[in-house]
Amino acid sequence: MKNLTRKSQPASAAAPTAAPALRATGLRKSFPLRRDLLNRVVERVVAVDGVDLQVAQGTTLGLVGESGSGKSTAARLAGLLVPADGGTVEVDGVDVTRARGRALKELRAKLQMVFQDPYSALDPTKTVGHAVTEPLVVHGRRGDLAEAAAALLTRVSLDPGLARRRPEELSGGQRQRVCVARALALEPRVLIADEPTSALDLSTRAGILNLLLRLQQESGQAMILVSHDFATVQHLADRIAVMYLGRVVEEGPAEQLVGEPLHPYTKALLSAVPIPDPVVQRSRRRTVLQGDPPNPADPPSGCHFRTRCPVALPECARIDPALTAVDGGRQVACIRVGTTTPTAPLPTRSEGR
Amino acid sequence: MTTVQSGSDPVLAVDRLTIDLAGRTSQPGLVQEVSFSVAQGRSLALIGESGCGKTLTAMAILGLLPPELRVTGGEIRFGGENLLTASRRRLRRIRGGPIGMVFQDPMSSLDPTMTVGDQIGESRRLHLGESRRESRAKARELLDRVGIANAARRVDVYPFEMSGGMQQRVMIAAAIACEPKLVIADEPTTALDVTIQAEILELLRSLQDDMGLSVLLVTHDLGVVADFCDDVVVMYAGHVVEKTAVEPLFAQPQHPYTRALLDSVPQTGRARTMLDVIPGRVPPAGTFPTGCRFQPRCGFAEPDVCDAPQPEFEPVAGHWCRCVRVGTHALDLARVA
Repeated sequence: MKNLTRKSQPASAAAPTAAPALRATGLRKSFPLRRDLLNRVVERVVAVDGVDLQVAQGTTLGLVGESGSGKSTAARLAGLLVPADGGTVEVDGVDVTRARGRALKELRAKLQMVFQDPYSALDPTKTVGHAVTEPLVVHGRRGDLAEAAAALLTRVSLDPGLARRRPEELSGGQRQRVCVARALALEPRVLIADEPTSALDLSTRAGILNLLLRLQQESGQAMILVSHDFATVQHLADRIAVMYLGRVVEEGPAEQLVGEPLHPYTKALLSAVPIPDPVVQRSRRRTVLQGDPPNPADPPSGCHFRTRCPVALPECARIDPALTAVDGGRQVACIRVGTTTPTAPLPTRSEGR
Repeated sequence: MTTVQSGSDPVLAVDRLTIDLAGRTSQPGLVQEVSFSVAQGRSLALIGESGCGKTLTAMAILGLLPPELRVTGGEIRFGGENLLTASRRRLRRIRGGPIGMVFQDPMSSLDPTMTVGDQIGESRRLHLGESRRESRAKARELLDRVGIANAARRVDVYPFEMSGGMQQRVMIAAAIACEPKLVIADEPTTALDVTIQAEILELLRSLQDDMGLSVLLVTHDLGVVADFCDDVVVMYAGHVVEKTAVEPLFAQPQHPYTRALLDSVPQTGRARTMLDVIPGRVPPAGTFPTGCRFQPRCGFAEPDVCDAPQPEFEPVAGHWCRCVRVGTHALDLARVA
């Protein structure tokens, strides 16, 4: 299949100084889609297609994109939750890609996850105290567990008395705090949060955002934040990587990327995020993307975005743009960036793909 | 067609709607004396946190409250008819007819065993007595209208063969199949990507322009409200706490709850700063405090004032606010930093 033979992209052009807390290079992952009678895979979907991610200590990398863009899979690969088909993962400059057994278990203490749905992430039959201290037990840390539970709950601004309760007695926001406390139990280097606020109300979301900010200021862990909620990402992230069909199309400092997106997809995505101010929102012009994203099992040739791109050129079908450094610490994968600034003429409606 | 401005007779008028747990009228209403109206061609947002009664209110309008809940007071007038006294048979004719419905999760609202063409056509067969052939032709037209490419082929497709955005378009096509006056949409874009959300809102907007459709939108997304709605009703713990047009609501919120809700949203240019959080949470039904229901969480609450029974509130220049302290000019949020 053509997309399986694609050359890997050049490594990040950003000059590395001290080793980042986490660096993933050339991550690839495909999943079997269909098998024949002999159980041989006849069709695969490439979920992550040569992705580089890097997050410095004490900072947050936001990973955004539509559903099916591969952002969650990329985060899971970086967190070693799912074995990658290719690529390397380094924690504090040490290559941990091949870690297995005991070494992998020790690494788990450094890479912790918080998931979207705090209702399914907690065992309903176990107490909150059990949930937050289980990582300590698994990793053989000694000490008074009740004391540890109280300290962890206090750290996430919960009443230590909740340790004896079960998840069903807690609100959604409290449960998510419990999940954060559990992730912090082993003092991880990197916290990977996959849609941590999507199931929550506005005010509850604000509380979790404040908590994640405060914990990072206190403990300096790096964070990878996966979300389709742009307000959340924009609020927490120092840098943002935008994914489309398994690839990063733009990466850079959050403020600049949001203020002046360069890739046509980033522009379209940002223009679709409604701003909660009617005067501002109603004066904006939206870049319209036609249709749904293409079938990930059969992505378009060349630039994956070209079928929906308002400024695509004929050569976009041939050239597969690599992520290339531009001014201001940004990287963009678009042949039109750096040559002529893509303008957005009114797109025409095209029939299918 | 022109969009009719406010001032004409409302399409929908909800007046002092009260909903209680069946047989437990001693407890304060889950929805208590909620009043608002939707004018022709306009869209009204019902906003508030989970558990504030937004969806219950919408379900009561449709006559779809779960059996353990009862409407114990008020009126819901739709085109001169009180829906609360309408027969079940009459309500069935109204739902999917003059009132269309769109829910959050299209996959669980669409019948997985019926083609999308049959589902869209179903309401035309039921409500307008059209034949299969007529309704099928109409379904194709409607799919085209909601921006589904290749409508002639897609009428024979099953819901699972479509993406979430496409399914929601099918829901909208079914909702507008009988040329309704009002569409009630409960979180119609919450499960969708922002790009698809923007397209769905654009579609609803163009249907409003073409058909003079009124929309009642239940949402918790303030961006969607700012983008799409003309008027806003803010609910808290079963009470309406503020109602006004969309611009003054965002520019000069008067009720402390509205203000707190707006302040909990991240602002551009203030990244990585602490957000204002409303302490505590919405009280569970049946434990609502007396007087102002927001008062235990309110930063401006005054003892013996806010927990006393509340008077009637009157709108000032079209802006209605349920707050004693604002009503007596003791509190002006515009002057509070």
